[in-house]
Amino acid sequence: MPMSDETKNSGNILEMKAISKFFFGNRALENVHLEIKYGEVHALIGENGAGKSTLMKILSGAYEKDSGEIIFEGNKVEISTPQDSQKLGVSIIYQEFNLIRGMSVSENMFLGREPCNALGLIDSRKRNSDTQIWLDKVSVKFKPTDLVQDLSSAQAQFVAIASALSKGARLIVMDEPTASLTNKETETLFKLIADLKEQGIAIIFISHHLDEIFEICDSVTVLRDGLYVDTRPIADIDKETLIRMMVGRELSKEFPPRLTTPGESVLNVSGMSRRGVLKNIDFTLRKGEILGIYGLVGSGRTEMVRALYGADRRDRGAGLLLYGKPIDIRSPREGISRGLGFLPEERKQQGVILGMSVANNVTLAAMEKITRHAVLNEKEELEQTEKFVRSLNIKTPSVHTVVQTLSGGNQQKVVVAKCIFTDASVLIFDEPTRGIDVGAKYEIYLLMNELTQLGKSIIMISSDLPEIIGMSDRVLVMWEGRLTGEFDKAKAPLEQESIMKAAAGEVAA
Amino acid sequence: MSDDVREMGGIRRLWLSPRVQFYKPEIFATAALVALVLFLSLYPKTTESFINTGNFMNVTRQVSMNGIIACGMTFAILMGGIDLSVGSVVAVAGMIAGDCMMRVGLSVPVSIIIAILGGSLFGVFNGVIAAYTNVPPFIATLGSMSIARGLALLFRAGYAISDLPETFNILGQGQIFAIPYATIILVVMILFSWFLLHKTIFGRCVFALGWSRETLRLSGINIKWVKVRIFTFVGFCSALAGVLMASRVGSAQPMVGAGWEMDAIAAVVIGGGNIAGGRATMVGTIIGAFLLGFLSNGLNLMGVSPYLQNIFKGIVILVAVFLRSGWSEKR
Repeated sequence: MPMSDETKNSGNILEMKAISKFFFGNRALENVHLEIKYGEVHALIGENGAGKSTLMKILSGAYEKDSGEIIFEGNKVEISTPQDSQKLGVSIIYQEFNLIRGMSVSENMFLGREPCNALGLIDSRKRNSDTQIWLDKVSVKFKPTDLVQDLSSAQAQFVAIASALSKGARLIVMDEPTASLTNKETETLFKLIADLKEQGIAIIFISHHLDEIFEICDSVTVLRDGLYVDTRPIADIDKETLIRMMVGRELSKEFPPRLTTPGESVLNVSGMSRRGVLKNIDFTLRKGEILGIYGLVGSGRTEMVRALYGADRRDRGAGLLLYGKPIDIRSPREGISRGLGFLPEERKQQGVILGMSVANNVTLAAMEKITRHAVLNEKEELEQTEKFVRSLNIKTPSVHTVVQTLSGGNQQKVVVAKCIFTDASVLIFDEPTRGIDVGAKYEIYLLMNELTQLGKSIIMISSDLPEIIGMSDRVLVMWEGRLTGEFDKAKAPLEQESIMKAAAGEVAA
Repeated sequence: MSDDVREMGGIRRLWLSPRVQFYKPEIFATAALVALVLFLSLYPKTTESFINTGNFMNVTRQVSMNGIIACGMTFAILMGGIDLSVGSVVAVAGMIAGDCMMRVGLSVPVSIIIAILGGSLFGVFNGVIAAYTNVPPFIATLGSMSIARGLALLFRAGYAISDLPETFNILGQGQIFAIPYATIILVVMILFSWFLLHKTIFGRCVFALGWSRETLRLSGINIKWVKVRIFTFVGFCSALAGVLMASRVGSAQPMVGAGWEMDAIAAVVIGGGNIAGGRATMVGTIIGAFLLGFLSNGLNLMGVSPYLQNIFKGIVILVAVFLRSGWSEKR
């Protein structure tokens, strides 16, 4: 990219000054600043609800600002439609890449601006070759004619980036780009980001993963509750300071100390398989224990716990012992009746019913407990729910509030309450803190500690290695549907490196 | 939990008032209904014939059949499905009742029970397909709509069964203290549906199913069984309406009920029901059914031609749903 414009100004491609935005009198943003230099990777961070998305939506033209000004490449600009921002060279890559799954890569990239021949018909040969040029720039292996639905989510993301470049993007916003990527894919993405930087393209990087920010960003802007906190070069700051800036108070530790020691064996799984997915899984869960399960995306972690819970089929011949007694679980209903509780990975699609109240969600998995003679006893339902709202500290205006309006952390607590309401003694938490802000995460951790103190056992899946190490008493590692490692904190401190090795398929000795 | 923890989690955030997102869509339908009734009461040409108890009771009788079917349709739409076969099931149920009484020679109550069971069986059939196959309810019930119509025609090779017994006809024609029996049955069905929806586990499941199948399944609910019961209930409602219809006109006709699925769906969506599932209320549905009933009654009294009436009905449906859902996103 030519850098001649750079002389025009102080080296900033974008300046957003004193931006404010209110929704029905509620502050979403007030007096927020953002300055992005040419060719820098700039992190934009803050807890959920801090105003990151609103700010980016103003930049993209999806929202109109109430006040403030935007200066792009030295000129004051008005961005009131997505087309405006695209013309300027601003491109936003959302978590769901806005690609049409049934179309090919090149059809997606040139959607609405297809190269035409003299007759006005689409020149697909030219379209494919043009696409190839852009794909080469992001150095990927798939072809312009491949269907988007056949690509992995990492590859789809590269298509979105190539597509942005082909539209002349000078500033690319990436919203949680690594959320669905494996570690290896993340590495590839970071390499690409470094390449783009070299070409003078600026990147706004939004992520909850602070480690990633320290790895690839040059500077960081922190927002909190719709207000501007500060902008700092990444070299001048450490993780603790950053967290303090985000939450506005000292967070002494990321993880609370574990207080219980695991007791007798509660659940014993042996020889659990599922053809093509799981191979011969054996493990034991003890009373009051948090058993962490780590593995890369695709390692079969979620499949394993879903098979255990009865949500998915599993092959015959698996042995399940609960308190030493053989049991069989063939459906979630049986799982629940045996005392298993499941908090799924996809909170909104699988954990809660968004359109129902807090109370209806809490009792959903054990409605017979509040039913007398086939009639739901709503009074009892409300009393029970009130108890959970208090004990789990669920922040909701009332138990009648529709779950959709709660924050992610509070929705997650509703799911936890739902599991506890079934009187589950074995709780399976699949990515319990994904997409939840730092403060709410800590509360979930405390809750897990409390549950184990009450004698419940927890199986916790997580992609976040520090979380696995910080919270687990014991860690199982999975790779390609198999267990490749077991690490017990009581025997030796948990180490990031050995866990990663097992996750990459090296069987621990 | 200790206080400092509570503070840490108590990050100041805005939560939207539940009112903002989930206002009551029935309010629009109620307003429209009140406006329509007021208009008909004040309009010089209709005022006399409109405002009298006889006419009001007549409307409730006319509404009863669509109202009963719409009760069932509310369940189907709430779960994110639809049932197109209701009109044909109306015809089949009427034919079964007529055949039992006139050919087999069964007593009136037994014939009614058999007719309702027979119609419900179509519901079971729809439910089993919806639950155990990947055929969407729209297609499954499109198929059974045709099958049921064919069966209704088969009974008498396309002819009606007329001269049904007086004791049977009283159900659709008679009244007690100036209240038609049909109206009483409608009220009972409304209350029963409301009870099912709001006071039973089944009702919760219907609602939840429209939002997320997977959440419901992981919560230990047998969603196949829920689906079968939903469509069985729709079949039951349609069959009941079919029996009422036959007794009202005193004859079982194989082509009766054609297009009734549209009226039932219209009642649900006018009352705030969302075809995508998860949103519909009994109150809204009934208001929707009465809105359509009063509209057709009023237009009749004004002497508007039936062809024009269809156009008005279409406009009412479009406007009602538009008022609730508004323009598509700007830009």
